[in-house]
Amino acid sequence: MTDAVPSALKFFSSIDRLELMNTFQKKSCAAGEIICKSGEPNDEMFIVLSGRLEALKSEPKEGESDVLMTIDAGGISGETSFMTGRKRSASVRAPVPTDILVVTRDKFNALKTKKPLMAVCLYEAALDQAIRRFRSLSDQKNLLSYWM
Amino acid sequence: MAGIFDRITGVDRVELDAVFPKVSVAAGEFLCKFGDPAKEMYIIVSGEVEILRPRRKEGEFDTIGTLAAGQMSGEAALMGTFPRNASMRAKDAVEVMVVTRAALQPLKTKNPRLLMLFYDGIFEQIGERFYAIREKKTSELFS
Repeated sequence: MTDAVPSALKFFSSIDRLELMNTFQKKSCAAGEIICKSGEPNDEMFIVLSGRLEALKSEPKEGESDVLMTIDAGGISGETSFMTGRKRSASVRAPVPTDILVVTRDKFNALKTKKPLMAVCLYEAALDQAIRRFRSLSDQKNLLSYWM
Repeated sequence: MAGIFDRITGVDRVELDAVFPKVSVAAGEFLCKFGDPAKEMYIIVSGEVEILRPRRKEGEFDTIGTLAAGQMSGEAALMGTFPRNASMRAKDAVEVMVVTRAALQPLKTKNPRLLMLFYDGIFEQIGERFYAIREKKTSELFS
């Protein structure tokens, strides 16, 4: 499935990428670090710069992996709950040393008025992730009631 | 529920109407069919549209959803050419706005605020559809 999720940064020109890096804070996560927990309010989405993130199952079956999905470098985590103001639907862990860009709600809202073109690019990057992820999930699980 | 038309009102609605062409579809006609390449997204302006999944037997369908004014379907078409994963059929006389990625592009510079409202509307619908399923299949999904 990771092949189906292209780099979120393709929506930005190289200048905008620099701008993006200057606007939002970079965070280095240690291997094994839990970055956020399921059920928490979501005021941040994460762009994976290097390493990877794992979204975790809420109730893994015994003897089974607790990993629901992997978000590789260039991917975004938490975009749908961030954009819709919902609570986080999964806990997220960095299984290896991982650098992320933390897109906070306050800064994103400020960007909407100060640099609307950049905000639009972030919207499109997030929408692209959400669409590809849900398409791929609905194809895999053959969810009868999901479509787009 | 008026969906996206609750967010986009007044002059913004006038602009939206100017950007996206509208198409009328007679009751019983298909807007699009399962498996076709998705090149456009639809926003229902009036009437109701059924979302159908074909059964194995030719000509038989399961209804998996119904859309009314302000609701949309086919948003995957904005981010690439995917095959349709459902068919859409007009339940009664229907008018839809036809949204393509190409038609959205000029808004980026002309009216990015409207474009952001539009994207908020799409996320809202993706979220509603997704979280409704998640209630049933908690451990299998993630956003």
